[in-house]
Amino acid sequence: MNLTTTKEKILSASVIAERVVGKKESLPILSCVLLDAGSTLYVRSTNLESAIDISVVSEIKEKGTIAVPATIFSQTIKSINSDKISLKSESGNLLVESRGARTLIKSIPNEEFPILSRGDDSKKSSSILRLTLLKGIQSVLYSASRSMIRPELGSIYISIKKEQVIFAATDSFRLAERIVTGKNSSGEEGEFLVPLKHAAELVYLLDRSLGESVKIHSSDSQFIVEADSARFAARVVEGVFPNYSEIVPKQFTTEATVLKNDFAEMLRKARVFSGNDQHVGLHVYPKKKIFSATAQSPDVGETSDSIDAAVSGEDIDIKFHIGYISDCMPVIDSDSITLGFSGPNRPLVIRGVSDADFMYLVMPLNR
Amino acid sequence: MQTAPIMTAPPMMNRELWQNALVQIELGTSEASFRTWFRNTDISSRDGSTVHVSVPSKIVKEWLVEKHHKLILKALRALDSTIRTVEYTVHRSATPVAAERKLGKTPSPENASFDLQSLYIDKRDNLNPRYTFETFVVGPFNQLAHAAAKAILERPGQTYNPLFIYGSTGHGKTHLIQAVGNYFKKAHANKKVLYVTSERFAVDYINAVRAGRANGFKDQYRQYDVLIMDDVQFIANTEKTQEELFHLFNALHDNNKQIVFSSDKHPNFLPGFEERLRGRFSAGMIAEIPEPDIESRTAIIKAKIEQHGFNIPDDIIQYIAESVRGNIRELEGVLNMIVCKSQLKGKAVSHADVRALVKHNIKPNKGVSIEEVVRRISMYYEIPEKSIYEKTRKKEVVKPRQIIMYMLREEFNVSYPSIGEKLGGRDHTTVIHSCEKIKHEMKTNTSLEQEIEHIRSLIHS
Repeated sequence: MNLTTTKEKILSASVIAERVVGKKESLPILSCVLLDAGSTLYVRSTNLESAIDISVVSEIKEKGTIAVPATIFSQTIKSINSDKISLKSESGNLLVESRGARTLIKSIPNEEFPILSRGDDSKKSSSILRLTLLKGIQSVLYSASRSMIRPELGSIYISIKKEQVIFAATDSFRLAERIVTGKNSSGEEGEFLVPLKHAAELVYLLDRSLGESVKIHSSDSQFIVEADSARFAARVVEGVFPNYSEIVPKQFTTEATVLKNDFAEMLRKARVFSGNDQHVGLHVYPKKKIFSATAQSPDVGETSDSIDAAVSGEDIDIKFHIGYISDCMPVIDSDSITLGFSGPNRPLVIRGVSDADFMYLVMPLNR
Repeated sequence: MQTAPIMTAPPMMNRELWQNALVQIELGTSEASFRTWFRNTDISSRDGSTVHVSVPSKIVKEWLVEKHHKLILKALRALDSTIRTVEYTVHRSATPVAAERKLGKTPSPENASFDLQSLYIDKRDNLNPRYTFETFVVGPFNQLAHAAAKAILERPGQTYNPLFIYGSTGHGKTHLIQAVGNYFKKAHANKKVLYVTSERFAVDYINAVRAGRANGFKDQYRQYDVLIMDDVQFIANTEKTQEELFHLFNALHDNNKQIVFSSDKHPNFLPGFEERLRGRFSAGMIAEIPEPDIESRTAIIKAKIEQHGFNIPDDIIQYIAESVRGNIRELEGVLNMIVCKSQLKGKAVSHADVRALVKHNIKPNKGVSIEEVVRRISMYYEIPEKSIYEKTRKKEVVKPRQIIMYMLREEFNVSYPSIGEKLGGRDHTTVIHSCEKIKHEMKTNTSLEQEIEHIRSLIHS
């Protein structure tokens, strides 16, 4: 193999590929990226459950295939100062050359590298705006369960319809949903349950892509996303995402509108005092026009904090896990948010005042 | 009932086969490669000479097909020479360990959670996705019903229409008919399936009539391609609802739409139903799910405990299967209790523990008073209760009276003289004669036998 490419292109490909490599796999080849130079250069990696395949513009003088450990490769590329990089195979190892620098990376026999077939892409594909997909997944990602014991809760639910794309995730303690309406997608409609791990890998890829829209299709229990020059495939899980609209309270007994930053700051302060439990008490007294938060722990002390808020309804004292509330703050596109309470032991609904697409539901602590 | 059918291919056999094949395969590959590619693989099913190997992802599938297919086939054929082909399928359930990650903030146990369980039922068709054929344990007792259900899926609306499944509570009727719905829903995305209990149907109808939308109700129900109605016995004696069901039945049947019913009795013995409806129930295929036999109960227990990832010695399984009769639901309850108890104790349960659990939790042949038996049987034959105790020798009274005597003797072991005394001071020889007569007649008269069977379930319910 002998080729030249630009640092920018190969670096972006290698850091994305690095995210997908297998960790703690018994086969050393799975922690590698495969550089496959045929008529174009492909950078590939896989952890057996998801796989990525990125084509990189390069000038190929001699064809060849070589596999090198992903971390070492991307670290090497990162440290290079010049624009042009040449990759050569030298007695089976990879020689990375740039102005003044020469690095030889020991390669690993690539016969065992998994076969990543491209498959038939023509059937059942839809196209969706990249930013819609990225923002949608990011908006709900943190709400999915970290455990795959119940696959539907350990996954992100994505439903693509003609005029509406729904993203949702829940770990049964809280639920995040973003519904994007309007013309965001075209082609086939579909529903997917993408495991959290792969959704995170996808976010990483989408965040580093440039194109305006991406293509999505599914075949053979795989979910395939094509963005720019990259093709990401991950397994989807079978399951039925809970029909959660039933648990969303329709009416509130108490409502409060606050500035998002004020509220986030209040939670940040409360977190310091909440100790290991991470409990925060919210106290809303509309008659006295009070909206406050309290937190205490025997080791640290206690704090109580009030912020300006427009409040209405009945008085309520309710306790939450602090992380569950603060998790959703960064993804709300609005300066002010409304909190809708519907009594103790009923979920709190958080929405952005000017971000109607997003909804967050969180269960309080049992008293 | 959550494991693969035991009749066609016992899961243990498939597993054993694969375990033995893996030993062979391991010898033919490097350790690292074996651990990578054969982790989380299994034989999912086997039909005849084809073995279906389930693999965790498409990447693994392609690798096995490309690189290890010969090795796998060879290893399998060495164990069973009838195997000709191996197919690979990606199983879509999650790999249990893969995505397990430690998280900084773990949910505090006191955090309330959404009640999601109840939301899994699809509101459009009321089907619970938990009930599938994969989780239906097939044994000799329900083989017929299972085969009939499978048959209607091949050619819905044509093979057996309607399919009528009957059997006592807890024998798996609902599971089977919901499995039909779920299977159909999966196979034909554009067809409409509805699962409804007869009670719900009646309530819907009443509401529709009250709101003056009776026509809307008709249209709504007539749009379905498969209609599954559970527990039809509950709309006994509801004249208008039955009439509506009758018309709905005709409309669907004429258009070759599949209809499935379940009930606790054979259509001929459904009290409070009009003849024309009963006739229609019997028009297609009637399959009974009787009490599971002991082998099936053993198989169900084994399937259940395997699903719990649990091990119980065979003699205890045998004991449970023998002592917990009839109701599968009860059987599950006892098993759950045993599993729970042994988890609490942290060790395997002893024979004595199981004995105690079973004794406390199984409803004994509960004592029904003689008056109650008389009341129920006379109700069944629609004759006044009083007449049983009277000296009358009318034909329509004599037969029920004899049946009452027979039941009291057979089911409750009441002595002949006290039966006679209770039923209006009759001589014990009269009672003996009655019992003998019924016993004798049952041998030749099957309809009487069925009647007795229903009366028995009526008394014990």
